[in-house]
Amino acid sequence: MSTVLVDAAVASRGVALELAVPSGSVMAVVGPNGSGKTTLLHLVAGLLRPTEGLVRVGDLVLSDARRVAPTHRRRVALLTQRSALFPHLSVLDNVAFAPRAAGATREAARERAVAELTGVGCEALAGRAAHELSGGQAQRVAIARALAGDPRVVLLDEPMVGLDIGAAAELRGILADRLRGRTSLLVTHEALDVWTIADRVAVIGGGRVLETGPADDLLVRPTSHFLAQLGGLTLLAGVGRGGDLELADGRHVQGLSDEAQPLHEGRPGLAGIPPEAVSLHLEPPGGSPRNALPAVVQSLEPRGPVVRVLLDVGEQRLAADVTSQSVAGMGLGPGSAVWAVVKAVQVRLYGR
Amino acid sequence: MRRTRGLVAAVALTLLSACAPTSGAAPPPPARLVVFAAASLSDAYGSLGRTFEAEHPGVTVVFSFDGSSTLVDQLTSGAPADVFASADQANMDKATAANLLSGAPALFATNTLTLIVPAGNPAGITGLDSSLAGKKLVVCADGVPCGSATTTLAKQLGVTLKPVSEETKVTDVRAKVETGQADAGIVYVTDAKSSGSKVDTIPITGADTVRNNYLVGVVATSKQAALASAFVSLVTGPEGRTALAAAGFATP
Amino acid sequence: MIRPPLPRWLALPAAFAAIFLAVPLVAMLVRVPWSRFPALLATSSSLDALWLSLRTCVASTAVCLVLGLPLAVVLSRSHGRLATAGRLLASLPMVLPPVVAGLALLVALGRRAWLGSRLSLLGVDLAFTTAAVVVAQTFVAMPYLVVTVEGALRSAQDDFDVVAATLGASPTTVLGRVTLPLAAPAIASGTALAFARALGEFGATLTFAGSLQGTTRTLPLEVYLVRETDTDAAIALSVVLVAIAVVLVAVTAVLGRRQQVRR
Repeated sequence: MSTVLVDAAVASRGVALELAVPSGSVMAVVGPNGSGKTTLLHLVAGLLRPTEGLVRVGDLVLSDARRVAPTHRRRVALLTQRSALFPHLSVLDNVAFAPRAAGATREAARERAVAELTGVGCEALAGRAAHELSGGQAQRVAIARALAGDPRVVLLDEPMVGLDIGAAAELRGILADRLRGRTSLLVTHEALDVWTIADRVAVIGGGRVLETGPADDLLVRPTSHFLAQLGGLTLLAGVGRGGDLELADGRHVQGLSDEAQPLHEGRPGLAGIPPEAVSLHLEPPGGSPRNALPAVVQSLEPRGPVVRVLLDVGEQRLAADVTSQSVAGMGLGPGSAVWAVVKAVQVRLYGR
Repeated sequence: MRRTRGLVAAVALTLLSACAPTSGAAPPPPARLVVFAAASLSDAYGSLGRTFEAEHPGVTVVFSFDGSSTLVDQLTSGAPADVFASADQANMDKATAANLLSGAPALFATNTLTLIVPAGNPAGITGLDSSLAGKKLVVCADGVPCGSATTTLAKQLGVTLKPVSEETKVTDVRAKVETGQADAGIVYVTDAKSSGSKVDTIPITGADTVRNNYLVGVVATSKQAALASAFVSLVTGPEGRTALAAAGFATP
Repeated sequence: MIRPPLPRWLALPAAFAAIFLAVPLVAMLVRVPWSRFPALLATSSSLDALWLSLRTCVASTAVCLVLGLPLAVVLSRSHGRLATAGRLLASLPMVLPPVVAGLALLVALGRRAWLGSRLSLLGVDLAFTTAAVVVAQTFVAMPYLVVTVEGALRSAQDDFDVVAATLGASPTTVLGRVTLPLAAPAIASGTALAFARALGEFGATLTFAGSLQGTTRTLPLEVYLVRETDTDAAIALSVVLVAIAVVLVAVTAVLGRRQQVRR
């Protein structure tokens, strides 16, 4: 059993983290920059000493405030966005490094290395030097190297950052395949990583674990703005009223109620709205079933072909993605009064 | 900006004054007599220089003390000097052969060798004899004047020396004995004398048969030949003899 | 990219500096009596000096590696005032005038000195031995190795040691299979520098070890002695020293460039 249990504080970083990663599951760790994600990984890897609490893998206490098991005795592999392949070793010997360090003979270690390289589709690169690899290849080799040591826990700190889209997609597939069934912690900013690689999600903010749960639940029915944003949604909060969500100003938002977590009459609930489903109008549109909410433009942020418009809707935030032509056509700017319109079928209503 | 210029000017002035030959504040440019002399002469010549300056008001004597062969090299490459004093015949012969001197050089002093030991003689040396066996003896290398003299003396005395080091400079021999690194050393009497109480001297019987000749002459390119000749006369005269004897030299 | 040009006037002092450095070496090469060159070098004293220099330099460079490498590694990972003081101390012999280094060794390891006299009691008598030459060379050469390697290790920013530890490598394995191999170019160039410095060592040897053919009279001391009687022979020997130095500088440069490429 290699269930990871972290219940540790690092006073100097203002971090107090409590988290359990069930044995064999891949936990995605998400949260804003500086929230404590890397600190979490360093606590598990033994690169940081907790001032209080402990870090445990299975029955083994790896760190507490008194003593910290050295990194090399933990069997915890760490993969960062820099693949950090040893420049003086060939690809094969990079991957054979961990078995060699564990005492395997050169032949046995190389045999294992070939197997791991095959697992990431890089067996043809065995004879190359590290600097002859592309970024994506280097990361794949780094994965093989990390797994060749039979780690009890695999830590991944944004391994996809800095790769081009194609290489990132390939790596995502390999990670999904190679990490299946291994206790892992994956720090990421991408919803796609969570969807494809992780079983569970932990949201970290301000040095605390805010929530954890199955990846599907949290992404489909996010309860925090951070998760909503990660899942490509924008959230409005209210209470259930006659099958709709009633906002604080009494306006109703209509939508499809989530069957797994339905909205209850008089109880707090949320409306999850994709920004691309929101359109903006200067006049109130007629006809239903459409939601039309009066809003004030707060800011505009170009995102490629569209413009992300942040709106104030009755003291709440709503995001809308509209084309730059329509922004120009309507003459939108901060302070413009508009109507935000969204089809009811594109709104998901759920209880919290 | 103005401050910077002031600073630059000040620095330049300091550099210039540092480069100036001597304290050149006196009204008429004083005559300078440049004397190239073997290093072992520094004590004796230092006092003779002061005597000479007293006898010739307005004249400053500037010494350059170094190994005789170095001084010959410098003269050969055109170093400006008025007087040259060598610690051995060979180097003076080299200078004469290169026509560096006007007239024949004069023999003005001789030096003999002696054995020195660190003060208190910790190794119990009694002379150039069996007491040196297994002890650390330092001498000058054959080829430099004091080394050639040492070799000649050893041959005459019929002893075989087993030195642990053969130094290029006699001062290095002396320093090794003074610091106790060596148990004994063979140096000139004058070196032993200037070491004072740091070493004990053990005279070598028969040492006076090997004499090292000190010669002095006027440099051919000197523009103050008369003054240079006067200095040579002082050195070879009675005052010179007194000063040289005080430093341990024998005088002819 | 076209870089903005340097001011033209810079060429003047730069050319002057280059000429200033080149002239003495060229002059020496011109002065060498090439026809007599082999004969001048083939004397027993010259050959002894050359052979002694090579032997002692190999020995002192080996000592530099065995003791200097650990010091460099430890310093590269140390912080605080003590580390700063250690770093200063490790580089001090580089800036000491050679004779001062010799005097320092003399008052520490001389027969009358505290340490030297105790060593004598143990039967270790350094005075006037080849070992004393090695000690003198090591003292002045080790800083070059320590400073070079320490600088390279310190500026290595990739945390390969952390990665190696997460792969299960013990501290000794990390040092032997990652840290030192990665610093290999710096170690090689530091070794070349140390060897060159040991080869040129003069003052400390003269003051501390003495000068005896075949035992303590290394090439520089032989040049110093021969110069008294035969300038031609001295120049011939100097050219040999220069040639070895040129080879070492070239090796250092090549290794330095390889290190840059790897970065």
